[in-house]
Parts: sequence; C-alpha cells; structure tokens
Amino acid sequence: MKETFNNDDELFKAIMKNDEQAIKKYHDDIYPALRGFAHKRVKDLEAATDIATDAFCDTLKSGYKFTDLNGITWYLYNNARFKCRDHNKKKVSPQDSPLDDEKFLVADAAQFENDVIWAEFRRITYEQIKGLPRDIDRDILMLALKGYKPVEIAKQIGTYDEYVRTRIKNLAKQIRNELIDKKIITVLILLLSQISSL
Amino acid sequence: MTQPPINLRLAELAFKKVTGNLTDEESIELEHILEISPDKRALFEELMNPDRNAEDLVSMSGSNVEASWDKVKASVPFTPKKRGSGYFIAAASVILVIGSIVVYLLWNEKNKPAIVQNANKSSTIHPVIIDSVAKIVGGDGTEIVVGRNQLGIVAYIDDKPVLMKDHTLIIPDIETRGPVIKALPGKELQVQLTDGTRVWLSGSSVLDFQEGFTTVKRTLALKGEAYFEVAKGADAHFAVNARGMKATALGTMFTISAYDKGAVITSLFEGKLNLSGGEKDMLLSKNEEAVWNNNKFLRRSLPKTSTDKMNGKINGYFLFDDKIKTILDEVAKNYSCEIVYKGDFSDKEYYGKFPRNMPIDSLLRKLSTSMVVDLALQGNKIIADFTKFK
Repeated sequence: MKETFNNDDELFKAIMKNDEQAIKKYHDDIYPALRGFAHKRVKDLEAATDIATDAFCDTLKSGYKFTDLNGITWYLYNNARFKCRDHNKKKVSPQDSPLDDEKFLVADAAQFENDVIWAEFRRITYEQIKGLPRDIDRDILMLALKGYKPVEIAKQIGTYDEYVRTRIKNLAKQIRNELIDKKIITVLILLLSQISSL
Repeated sequence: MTQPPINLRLAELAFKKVTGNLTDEESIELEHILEISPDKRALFEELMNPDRNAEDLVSMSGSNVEASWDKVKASVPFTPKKRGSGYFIAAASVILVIGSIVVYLLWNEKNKPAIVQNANKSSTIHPVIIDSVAKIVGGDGTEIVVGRNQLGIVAYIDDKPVLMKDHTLIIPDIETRGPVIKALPGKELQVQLTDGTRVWLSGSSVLDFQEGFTTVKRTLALKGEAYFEVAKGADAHFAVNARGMKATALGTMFTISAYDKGAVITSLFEGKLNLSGGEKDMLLSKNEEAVWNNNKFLRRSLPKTSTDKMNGKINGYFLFDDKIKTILDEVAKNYSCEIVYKGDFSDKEYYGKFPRNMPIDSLLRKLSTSMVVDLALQGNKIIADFTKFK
C-alpha cells in the first residue's frame, strides 16, 4: 500500500526516520531534475545519470542534521555540483590548473544559482504533470510536449482531435493554476536562501 | 566567503511572467533587471522558451527513475517497515471483496436471460416533446410556448403567421404595439426578423417589439444578451434600445449584453455602430467594445476570445475561455439563476466548449468535474463552493 505525505514537513520527518517509502517518494520527485541539472553541467547524459544517483546516495549517507526538506535539496544540488566539477576536471588538459574548492565556489556561485532555479522550475512543473489524476491527461500532455499535433494524439489514443485540443488548453490552465496555488516562488526563495547562507 | 547578491526579485517576476500575472510596471522592472544582468537574461529566456520547456520536460520523463532507485536501495540500508496484524486483515478483506465481485459477475454472465422476441406485444405511443425554447407574449398578455423542433406555423401575430423553420423563429411585419419574445432559461433562440436581420437570443433574454417592427421602422428593445446580424440594403436605420442606451446601424454585426445588473456591453465585429445614452454619444468601429455604465461610455479593444464566443453562439455552443467567476456569472445569467460563491477563486481560469440548450444540472455537473469546484443547484441558486477542493 502506497503511503501518502500531506506536506513537505511530513515527508521530511519520515525521511529523517529513514522511512523507505518517504525516501523513494523524494527520490522519484527530484531525480529527473537532478539528472537534468548534472546534464547541463557535464554535457554527458550517461555521466549525469550516475552523478544524480551517486549524489542522492551520498546525501543519505552524509549523516548531516538537516532541518527541513529544502536543506536536503540544497545539499543534493551542491553535492551534484562538485561531482560535476570532478567529472569535468578529468577532461581538462594538465596545463589548465583546475580551480580549488574556494575559488570554484566563488566563480561558480552565479551559475549554480541559475542552474538550481532552472532545475527546480522544471521539477515543479513536471510534478504537476505527473500528478494529474487521469492517465489519459498525462498521456495527452506528454505527447503534446513531444511535439505531436492534436490530430496525431487523437489517433494514437483513440479519440477526437477537438477533445485533445480542449484538454491541452484546460490542462495547461490547470497546471498554471496549481503552480499559483503552490506558490512555487516561496519554494525557490527558501531554496535560494539556503544557497546564500553558504 | 562572499556571494553575489541573490536576485530574489527576478525569481518573483519570472514566476509572475510564467503565470501571466505580470503588471505593466513589473514588466518594465523585469526588463531593467535583465538589462543589467546578462546571465540572468539568458536564464530567464531559457525558462520562458516553450520549445525548451517541452524538450526539458520530455527529457525528464525519459529518465529511468526505477534504475536509479535500485542503485540507491542497494547502497543505503533502510529501516524495515513493520506490518501488524491489521495489514493482513485489511489485505484479506480486499481479496474477499474482489473475489465476491468476480464470482457475482461470472454468475450473472451465465444466467443472463435470452433475448425475448416482442412480436406479440402491443405497441405504445409517446407524445413528441417539443423542446420548448421560447415564449411569445402578445400585447394582450396571451402566451404561446414554441419548441425548437416544431416546423411550420407556430403562432399568429395580427393574423400574420409566425413560422418555425430550421430551428429559426421567423417573425412577420409587426405594425401594432408589438409582442415580446422571451428565450427560456438556458435556451438559445435564433430569430429572423421581417427585414432579414438575424438575431441569436441568449437564454433568459427578451426581444421587445414595443414600437412594432417593419422594413421601414426597424426598432426593438433588448433585455439580456443577443447577437445581431443586421440585414443590409434597408433605408431605415436598425436600432436597439438596451437599458437606456441606444445602438443604431445600417448593416453590421454586433453583440449587446444588457442584463439587469452590471454594465451594458456592446461588441462590434463588422461595420460601424452609433451609440447614444443620456447625453453621450460614441461611434464604435470594428473590433471595438463599448461599456455603458453610470451614464458613461468606455471604449476598449475587443477581447481576443470575442469572435470565437460569437461563433460559438451562432453554432449553438458555449465557448468558455476566461476566469472561472466570469464563466459562472455567464452561466447564471443564461439560466436566470442567482449565484453564491464560497471560497477563493479569483485567479483560476478555464477553457471549455459545451452545447447550449443543455439542462442546467448536466452543465453544472460537467463544469464541476472539470473546473475542480463543487457546483450545486439549490432552487434558483447555483452554489459554487471552492473550499471543498482546497
């Protein structure tokens, strides 16, 4: 039976109790965005896939006393950031001396902030699509995002193109409404304040 | 260690831009921030680019989350979950219920009666339901209900026949102090006047021929909402009186919305329209809209969705593409209902297409499911409760 968590606080408390269901939920939510973040930095999808998983394992094993879910999220991105740096170091020729940690943090600060905003925007939007209650709605939206036209989607799922067109418009509005309700700006601001307290 | 300042304001403005809530002042502020910070501009443009958004989201959907989770599970020990006897009782109950349903369905399938031939059964007859759409009320108070699927003469006005043909009510010359045509709540009526002008009258709206109506005297009054396609070629001006405002034209296409409450809104799709009210006048041009309120006119551009809505009206469907409150207000007007709102709904928008002339309970049921709001009909009131889905 799948457990549900009503809010981030409940999920955070369960994660801190090492609850497998809670950790899996958090992993499934953040992994695609984390992999996207790493891919942006290393330009190698296979490496990004490994970096995202390794960063997740490292964060769980860190023993760090997190105070909230944003703390864990920040730690994850930061861990992935250094893994990406290490991966890129291997590709640098010996005469280009790689930056030490301190210099890297300063030089990378603005880019890191941008990449986290980018990844979190994507994560929250993707979550809204995944969270649509009807399979058919998720299928329509994902096919539309892949560039299929309403007529093609209608053929594929066996319905009318007018229905598909109407659903796409409504789903886009629904997701927009939900983003407003969830106040994604609050999430981003909290996360950014974690970064600025470095 | 020092960090460059975090531009939280940019995040806030970007969010507003994404959700379509950026004001003109904020738009200028955003442009200023982006001008002084090229790296932020690059990020902002990336976030706003619909093609990139789609590409990134598709790429996210392609990530193998389960494979990653298997690796995490292999590397991190978890606290095992305890399952008490309650779990087994619950599981056993579920199995029992599913089992019972399967047995019942199989049994029912086996024992289905064979189809019985009805050759010896007596035939039954039913009256034709005329699908009432409007009432014609004569100057003497006589009322005649007309149905959409009637064909031929449905009434007489001063001994001249009123016809129903192709779902259109065809009105003859009216030389006396004329009758009133009322569209029933939730029923849209198409009317053709004696000069060839066509009118699409919304639910609960009234066309009043109080001064008569002929090819040389083309004046009528409107309560509620109607779309007019005024016949060209006539010498006389076509005039509509609506709650103290008068619209005058020769040949044109326009909508007037003049319900009991709120402003009178005139939307012009073709030609020119002269409006007058109190001591004010306004010449309205194509793709403009006039709002008449408190004896004042306000001119604005026709909203983008107006033409689609007008086409919807002609083709017999509601086209909703607006804030939920605006849509529900429109529904309430069409069905002559009051509306009561509970909870916060101000920002939510909705798009949908529904046949007009639908029973109100069916329409509310459909809207309720797709708008995520509880809509209930209590007598003549629609209760829109947004609190149940919070």
